[in-house]
Amino acid sequence: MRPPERMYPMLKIQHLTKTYGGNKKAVDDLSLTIAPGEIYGFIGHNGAGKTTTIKSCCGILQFDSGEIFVDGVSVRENPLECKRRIAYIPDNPDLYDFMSGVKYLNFVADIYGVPQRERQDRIAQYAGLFGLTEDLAQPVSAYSHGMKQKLAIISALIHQPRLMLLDEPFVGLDPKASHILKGLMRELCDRGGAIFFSTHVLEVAEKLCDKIAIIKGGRLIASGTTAEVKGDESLEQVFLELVEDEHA
Amino acid sequence: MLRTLIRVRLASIKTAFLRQGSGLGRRGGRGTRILIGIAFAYLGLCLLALIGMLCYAMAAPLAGAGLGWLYHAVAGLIAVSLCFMGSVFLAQSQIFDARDNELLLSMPVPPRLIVASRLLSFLLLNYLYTAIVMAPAAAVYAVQLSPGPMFYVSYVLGFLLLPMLSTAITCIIGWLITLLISRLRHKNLVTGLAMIVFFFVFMALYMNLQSYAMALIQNGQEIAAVIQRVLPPFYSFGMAAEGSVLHLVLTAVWCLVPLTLVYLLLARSFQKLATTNRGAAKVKYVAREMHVASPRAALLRKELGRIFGFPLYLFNCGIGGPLAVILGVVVLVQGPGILNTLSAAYGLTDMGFLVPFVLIVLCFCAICTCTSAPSISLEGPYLWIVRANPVRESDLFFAKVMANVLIGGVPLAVASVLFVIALPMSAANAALVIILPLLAQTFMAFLGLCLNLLMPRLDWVSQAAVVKQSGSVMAAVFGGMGMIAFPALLYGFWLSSVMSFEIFGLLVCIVLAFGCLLMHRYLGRGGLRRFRAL
Repeated sequence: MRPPERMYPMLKIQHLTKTYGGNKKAVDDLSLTIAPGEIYGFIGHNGAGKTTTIKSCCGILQFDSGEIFVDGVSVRENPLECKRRIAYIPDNPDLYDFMSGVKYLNFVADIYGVPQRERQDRIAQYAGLFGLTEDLAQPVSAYSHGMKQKLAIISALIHQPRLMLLDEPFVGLDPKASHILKGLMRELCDRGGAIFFSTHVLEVAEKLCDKIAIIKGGRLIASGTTAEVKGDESLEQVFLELVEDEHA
Repeated sequence: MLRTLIRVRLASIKTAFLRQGSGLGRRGGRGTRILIGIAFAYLGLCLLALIGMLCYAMAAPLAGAGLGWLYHAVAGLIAVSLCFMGSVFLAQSQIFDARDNELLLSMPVPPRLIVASRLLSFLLLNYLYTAIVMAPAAAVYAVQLSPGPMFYVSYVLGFLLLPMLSTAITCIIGWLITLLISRLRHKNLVTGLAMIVFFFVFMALYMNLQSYAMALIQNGQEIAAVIQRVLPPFYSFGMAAEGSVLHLVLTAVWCLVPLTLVYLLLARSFQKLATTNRGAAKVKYVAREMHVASPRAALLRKELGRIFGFPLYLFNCGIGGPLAVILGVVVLVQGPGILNTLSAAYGLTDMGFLVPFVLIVLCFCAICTCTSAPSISLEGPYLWIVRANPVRESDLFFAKVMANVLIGGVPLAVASVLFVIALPMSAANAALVIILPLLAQTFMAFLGLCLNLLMPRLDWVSQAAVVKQSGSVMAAVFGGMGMIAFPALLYGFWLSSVMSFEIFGLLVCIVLAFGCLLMHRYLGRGGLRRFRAL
């Protein structure tokens, strides 16, 4: 019999290793755990392995070894069940440009089996929040990068995921939309969900995250609560020192 | 810099044919390249044979009537027409809507060089089309009439010059199309309809090629006068091939001046055209009751939306349906007489071949509908959507196959019923006319998807290139042709004396159904693995 759900971490990555082309290790023996209610920031330089880790967690990439559990469910063994609990937003959301915004949202709602009333209410709520309502009838091809990003965020929230995996979610968003997104992230965690997101904006990570992990060359070089990781310094200083230490 | 831009353009065309994989730079295997090579060789040989026969019928009679120049003019006209038809709808997407336009404009590259590189790429493509016409035309004339050296000089220069004229015409029409449709609300529908009309005009011309050749021979003087008056570039080329140096110079002028003017025009307006969003007026969203569907139905709707939202896709991979319906209506209106004439043109004079001929025609229409063949490649940058969301691969495959079956199968079923009503046939034959094309369509849908999983191309720059030039589409079409040709030849040359057509038709149905089952099984195992590895 399965134990009560709250006993499981929202995301548990154990010894994740992912290799490209047979020899280049993009992620090397990475382990971390995200509990319900946590916003977990993931920082690292370009090519450090952030996107590969996030894509492995949401079942886009197959990994070589290790295990990933979403809410106690193995991504390797039961990817569909995991995907029903998560939402993923890529760093550059290419959305079906032959659909209108509302048709795209309806498509995603159909995939998740969101009932009609709920989907209409949520679309109205989130589109209103992001100021996208008037543009929903427009084809996605006519959207700016920021509008696509907003549409991707709304589509991610439409099925009320328990875990959100976000790759550079603030890129392209205007300040108001960024502020709203931060609020939504906190709200989801307050409801018992969790967020795992990558960012290069260290100030945002420092203010927003409960925990932070720093990755370099595919390996985790620091992780813990934001206070533990940064100590008395700023996150930027710590990050630069850690990266330089690794170079030395 | 120009050389670099052309190299990039040609590399994009080359990779569209030969590369596969998920953007990791994997090249197509030797098998893929051989398959594509065979497909091209087959297509080229068919066209060469067709043009060669046409030229053979015209050369001696026209030269005998003192109208040798008319022969060359017609050859030039066919070459330019072939270039035009081969690239007119590509011009808009490759020049003004190419995905790398903004990237290139952001670099220190003068827009005129971008235009020049695009024009030169088109020119190179047009040289290929021109060679298909001018090589047999020159060979036939040289063998039959032993012309002087000026003929050879003119043909070599004509080969170099005439594609410039067709490039100019193609690009200017692409420019006009871009200007016209950019303001239309239903531009996809309008473009799709224009393509379909264009295709049927082309088909009508193609079907009547022999009769035009006869008309040319019989009414040479009148047609010569018209060409001389209305189509001076071709008149000049014809006269040049007959030895006139002055007309050779005039041919050069007729070809070089339009291309230069088009280049100057496009160079001036390229940046504006490529970057201005002239979309139709903004539509305000009004909340309505939303339609709820199952994941399968949603994926199917998505596939259909993509096909109908992309005219070039519909035109290239979905023309079989309208073609079948039009043929059905024509046969219903005109009676079986037209089919007798058509089948006789292919040497099938025995009335017993009427039903097999109808089946060949309907199965050909089924082959022309292969929307599944580029469907995996078209996921390209959107692949993450089906990967990150709880979508079963089997549901995705179902949607791609079903979209193909619906787009091809529904019109085929209508056409089959029209044929059954119009033609006298037994109940068994009627059942075959209805069932076999539908099975062929289902087979094509499975075949296209399997081939695209084997030859995916996800890192495309232009969707048009995926639809028009990818290896999976060509392999599916040529595989489909084999699917028609093999049983047709088998029955025509051997089995017709061993078994009745009804029994043979039933066997073909069983083989097609078994093929569908095999491919369905592959999609559930090997296909699934290949998709997950993309």
